[in-house]
Amino acid sequence: MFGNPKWFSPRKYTGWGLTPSCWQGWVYIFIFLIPVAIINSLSISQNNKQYFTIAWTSLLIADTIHIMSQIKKDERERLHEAISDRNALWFIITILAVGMIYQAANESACTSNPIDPIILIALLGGTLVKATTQFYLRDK
Amino acid sequence: MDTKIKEYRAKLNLTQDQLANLVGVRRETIVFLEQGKYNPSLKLAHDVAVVLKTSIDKLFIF
Repeated sequence: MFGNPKWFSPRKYTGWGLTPSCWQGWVYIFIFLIPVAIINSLSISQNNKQYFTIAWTSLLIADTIHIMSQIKKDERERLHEAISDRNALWFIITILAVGMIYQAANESACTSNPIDPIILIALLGGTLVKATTQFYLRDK
Repeated sequence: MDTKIKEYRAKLNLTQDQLANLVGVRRETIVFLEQGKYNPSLKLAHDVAVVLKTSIDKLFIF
C-alpha cells in the first residue's frame, strides 16, 4: 500500500507489530502522525475529529498488516516467532482463565453477569482459531 | 550437532552472506547453522548441501 517492508522489521522484544529499521520507517510514522495532529488542532466538531482519527488509524492498521505480510522471514525466524507467540499466548490464556474464575467466584452473588463477555469471546474465539488452524495444517 | 558447513563454504570461497542468499535465509541463520546451534529443516539442509556440492550426511554430523 504505502509503506515499504524494507523500512521495518518485526518487533521481537517489545511486543507485536513493526519497528522502523531505517530512517525511512521513522519518516513514514511521522507522516502518518502529521494529519492527526493537524485535524486535532483545528476548530472543528469533536465528532468529525473522531471520525477522521478512526478512519486514519484504520488506514494505518491496514497498511501495517500489509507490511507485516510482505516481510520475508526464514524458517528459523518463523520457528522462533511461533514458539515465542505460543508462550505469550499461554501466559495470556492462563491469566484470563484465572481472572474469570476469580471473578465468577467473587461476584456471582452481586451481579447478574459476573464474567466479562469480551474475555469469554476472546477465549472461545481463540479456541476456534486454534481448531481451524489444526484442520488447515493437518493435510499440508 | 556438529557441522562442516564452514569448511565446505571455505572450499568454494563463499561468504556467509552469499551462502545465505543462495539458500534464501538470513546470514544469522547460517551463523547458527555453522555453530551447530540451529537444527535445520530437511529442505534447508538439502539446499545448503546442494549449494556446497556435497550431501547432507557429510555436512551435518549427529
